[in-house]
Formats: sequence, C-alpha cells, structure tokens
Amino acid sequence: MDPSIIEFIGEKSMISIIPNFSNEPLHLVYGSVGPFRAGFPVFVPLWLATHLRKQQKCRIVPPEWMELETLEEIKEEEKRSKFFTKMPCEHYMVVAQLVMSTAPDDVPRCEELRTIIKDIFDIRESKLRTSIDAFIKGEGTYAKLDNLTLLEIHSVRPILPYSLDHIARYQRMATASQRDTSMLGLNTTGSASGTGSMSNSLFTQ
Amino acid sequence: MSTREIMSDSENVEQAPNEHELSTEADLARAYEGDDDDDEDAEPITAQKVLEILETAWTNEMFAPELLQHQSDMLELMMSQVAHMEEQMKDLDKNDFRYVVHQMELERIRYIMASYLRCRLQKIEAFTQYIINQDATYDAADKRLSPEEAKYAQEFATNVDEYFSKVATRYMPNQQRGEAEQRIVAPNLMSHVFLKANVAVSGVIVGVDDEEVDLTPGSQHIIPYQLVADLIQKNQAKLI
Amino acid sequence: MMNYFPNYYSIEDIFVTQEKVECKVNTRLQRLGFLDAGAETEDLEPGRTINLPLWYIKELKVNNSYFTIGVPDIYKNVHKAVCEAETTHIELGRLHPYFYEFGRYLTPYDRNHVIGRIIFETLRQRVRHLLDISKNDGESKREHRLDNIESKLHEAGLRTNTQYINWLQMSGNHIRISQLVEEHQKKRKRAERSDDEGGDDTDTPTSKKRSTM
Repeated sequence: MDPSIIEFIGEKSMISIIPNFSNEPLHLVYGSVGPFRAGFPVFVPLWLATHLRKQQKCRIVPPEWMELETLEEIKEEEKRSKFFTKMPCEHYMVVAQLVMSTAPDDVPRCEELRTIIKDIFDIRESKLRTSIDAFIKGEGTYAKLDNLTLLEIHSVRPILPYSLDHIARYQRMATASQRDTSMLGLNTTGSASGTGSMSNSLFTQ
Repeated sequence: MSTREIMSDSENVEQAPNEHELSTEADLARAYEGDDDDDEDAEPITAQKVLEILETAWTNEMFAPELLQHQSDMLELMMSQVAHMEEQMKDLDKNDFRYVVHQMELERIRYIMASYLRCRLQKIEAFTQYIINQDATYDAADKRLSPEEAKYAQEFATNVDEYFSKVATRYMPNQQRGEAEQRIVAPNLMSHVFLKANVAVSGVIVGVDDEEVDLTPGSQHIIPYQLVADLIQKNQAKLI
Repeated sequence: MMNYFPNYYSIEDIFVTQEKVECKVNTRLQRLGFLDAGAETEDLEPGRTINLPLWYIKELKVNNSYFTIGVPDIYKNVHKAVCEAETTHIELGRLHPYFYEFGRYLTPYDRNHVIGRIIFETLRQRVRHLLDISKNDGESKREHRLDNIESKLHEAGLRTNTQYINWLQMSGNHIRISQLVEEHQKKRKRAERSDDEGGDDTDTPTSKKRSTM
C-alpha cells in the first residue's frame, strides 16, 4: 500500500477552516458541511480544506494539538512510555503533512512543529522496530499493536507481515515433520521448545 | 435571480442523498443488517452508510489474502446515487463552488469503487480456479463472486487453459495434462494481517496451540488471517 | 505484489526443485546405473552416492527403501551460528541462493530434525537485520548476503521506505504517470529529437509532472 492511499483515507479527517465567502450548507454523501459564513470557523473534511486553501478561499485553523507545548509533552511521554501512546489524532502525520504543505502561513512556528512531529514519528517507528525484534525472538505470530497509526503500520508493511508469513511456514514445516517422524519412532532428538505461537503484549499495556 | 434558481435546484442535489432514491431500497438495508433483531420496520439505508460499507469493503479487500464476499448491492446503490447526483448537477455552472465540491467528492467515491473492483479482479486473476471451486461450494447468498465476476472468472480460466493447451500442454505426454489439481494457485490464508476490532470479541484463538485472547473495541493486532476471517465476515473487526 | 508463496507456476519453486541432492543408494536398482556418472554397471549398486534433483526426491516417501537423502553441509555448517544467535553476518546467498526453500523441501527427510529448525531459526534471527538494512537505504546491496526470500523482503522494505520518503518530501499531490506511459513518452521524445534536433520539449507531460521530488 502506497502512502498516497493512507493520505486519501486520512483526508476524511475533519478540520476547522475560516472561509472568506458565504454559502449554504452542502449535503455531501459523507454528511453535510456548512453553512459557510465569511469569517466564521466551520468544520470540513481535510480534502476540502486543502482544496479551498489552494483556491485562497479560506484559512486553515490548525487543530488544537498542532502546537509546540502539546507536542513537546507528547514527545516526552512517548520517550518515557514503553508502549505506544495514544496520538491526539488518528492521522496526525497526514494532517500535519497536508496542512503544513498547503498552508504553512496558517500554522504558527510551522518549521519547529514539523521537526517535532517528525521526531515523534521517528521515536514511535524505532520503538516499533525494537518491539518487533522482541516479539519475533519470543516466537510470536500474534501481537497487539494498540494506538499505532496507519502510517506507522505502513513503515513495516509489507516486510513485517511477509517475514512472519515465511517464519510461520518454516515453523509449521519443522513442527509437522518432527511430529510425523516421531510417530514413526524415528525421533532421536529432544523436542524443540516453543512450537506454538506466543502472544506478546510488549506492544501495549 | 438566476442564482436563486440554481440554489433551489441545488437544494435538490443536496437533499437527494438522504431522501428519495435510496429510501426505496429498504430490503437491502435489511439484507445488510442481517441477523440483527431490529429489522422489523424496513429502515432506509442512507448514502452515507452505503459509502461507509463500501469503504470498509475496500480496505478489507486490499488486505485480505482471499477474495471476500462481493458487495454488488452496495455498489449498485452507490452507482445510482452518483448518477443521480450528476444528473442533478448538470445544470450548475462548472465553476460554481457547489459543483466543484460535489464533483470532488464524487471523484473520491469513484476512486474507491474502481480501486475496490480492481483489487478483486487482481485476486480473481491470481487465484482463478481456486476461487471458482470454492464458490461452487457456497449457497447462492454466500457467493464470493458477483454474477459478473463469476462470468469473468470462468472466461478467464477458459482462456488461460486454451492458451496453455495451444502453446504447450498439447505437445506434452498425457500424464502432464492431468495435473489440474496440482496447478491450482491458492492464497496463503495464514498470511499475517493487521486487524482492528470494531466491537468486543471474546475468546479469539490467536495461535496454533489454541491460545485465546479477548479483543477490546478499537484494539489492534497482527495475526494470521485465517484465525480472524470470520470476524471480518461478521463485521466484528476490520483489516487496516 | 503478493508475498512469495510457492505454487505450480512459480519460477522460484521450479529453480529450487532443480537443485541436486546427495543420496545414498540402499538397494540394488535395476537398470538405473545411468544415474551414476561414475559407474559402469547397468544396475545402480547399494552403497553408491549419487546426485538426484529435488523434484524427484520430493515425491519419495521419507522412509523409502531406495535412497537415504543426505543433509547438505550448508545446514550443518550454520548450526553453531544459529545456536549462538550469530546469524546476521552469514552470507546466506553464497551458501545457497534458495537457502530457506531448499531447506524447507528437505526438512521431512532430515531424521535429526536439524534443517527445519535451522531455517526457521535463521530467518527469525535475521529479520531485525533485514528491517534495518531496508531502512538505512540499503542500496549498497551486498550480492551474496541474502538468499532469494530475503532479497525479496529487502526489496519490499526498500520500496516502502522510498515511497515514504517521497511522500514526506512532496509539496502537493503530484500524480505520477505510470512507468509504462513514461517509457513510451521517453521513446517518443527520443524519436522526436532525432527527427527534429533542438525541438522544444519542455511541455511534455513528463517534464510537467516531474516537479519537486
């Protein structure tokens, strides 16, 4: 899956804009948006917000969490926690990326924010890699991944699921052949440990 | 003056999704809600709901190793919705704010539908015979292939067979022609997938040694597909 | 692109099953002497060692009375490294281009149950390394480091990483044209150029769409 699809999905997130025009509400298939009143904030899907911003028909109001102090806290929390913390927005990377690239002028201290959001993503990504390592070494084929966002999952897709597929295939083969021959009385070695899968809760509380 | 006219005209556009057109499809709504108890009074399904169902079907289809149940009913509803809206919009100025926004949304919806169908076609072409055989064992209501897809799959299988026969197998000794079973390409149902629980599900077996786990709503997991295939089918969880 | 999962048509599977395996002959096999390059007898004599292709072997029963299938040294040789969890430095591709799949086929024939365990453990130990080299632009690809399965995983990882970096760097939505169309346009452009030297090609779709990367 390409990040553009993750972006497409994330573009459904609602975001506040301040339009410079007025219009009746629009009844989109996805639900109604508006009415639009010049100078008054209104929530619209991100895809519409970026479109209107490019047309210079609105200003984007950055979401509450897109603010240095809040993000500093999130970053510290993420560093402290062994697990993945819950992000203020399910699509935080997509929202940040789209808002900051379409409307950098609407976001105070845009560059600093960009850096810190990237930091948070990187911390989480490397945490994910470390957890994966522990998880695979623990012979797991199942794990809990609470609070990971789509783009973070994407960072290990497809290599992680594909690797697990192969590992599981070889594990099944090893186990099956051992079982078959032991029934024939040919089993000479001691049984290997942990042939089943192990659940792993390193990823979450 | 003329703007007023367009306004009232567009009012129709706007109202359409939630009212007429779709409200007549009550039985579909019921069909989808399935075994839920609250289907006494045929509740009309909204366009928004149809779109949500299609979106979920689309992402599930992208990540499931096997072909999932077709959504012809939902697709048909959405197509007529799109056609209806376009019909209503055709008198609007192409630069009109409303026209542009509706058009953008329709493009997004069309993309989802096209991507969904393309994804299914890819699976049908990769696992043709496997899917045909499997579908033959299902009741009419549970078929994975839509009637059109079934026809396509059958034709595709025939074409491939004919081609192989023409270029190779007819020049081979007899026994090599009889490997039909062996030649079936099947998906790896134990492929690992990322799963998100929609509701609480208890006692999900997560490993070959029957280890069980309770899923809480919103929890996410990586797990072999086959162990959770029924949860996807029952809409208790979705693939992400 | 789907994950590798062997099937009748998969070329990798055909390559793997072409590989030769050393077998010890257990009983006299009449008129099969031709299988043994070094023998001049018409029959294949017990005690001889011959090489047979995997596609033949895999149809034999594990406890067949004709041949004893030998465990290739490559698996014995990594045993120690596997036990010590020191497998990341092994040049697996040099040992065997299809280290894992070849081993998988031989697993049932290995009465000491070493191969099955080894391929499973080896991959398990090396996944972290694969994840790491896919992240740190592993373009410096070391030829023999990886086996076929691993190279595919590595390529998939690199692709993910490239896609992500491209996504981060873009300043808007640039719809990229498909490779096929692009190739076609390049060809056409080349053709046009040779027709008309110095022609202005700034407004071809290619140059328009290729911005800010």
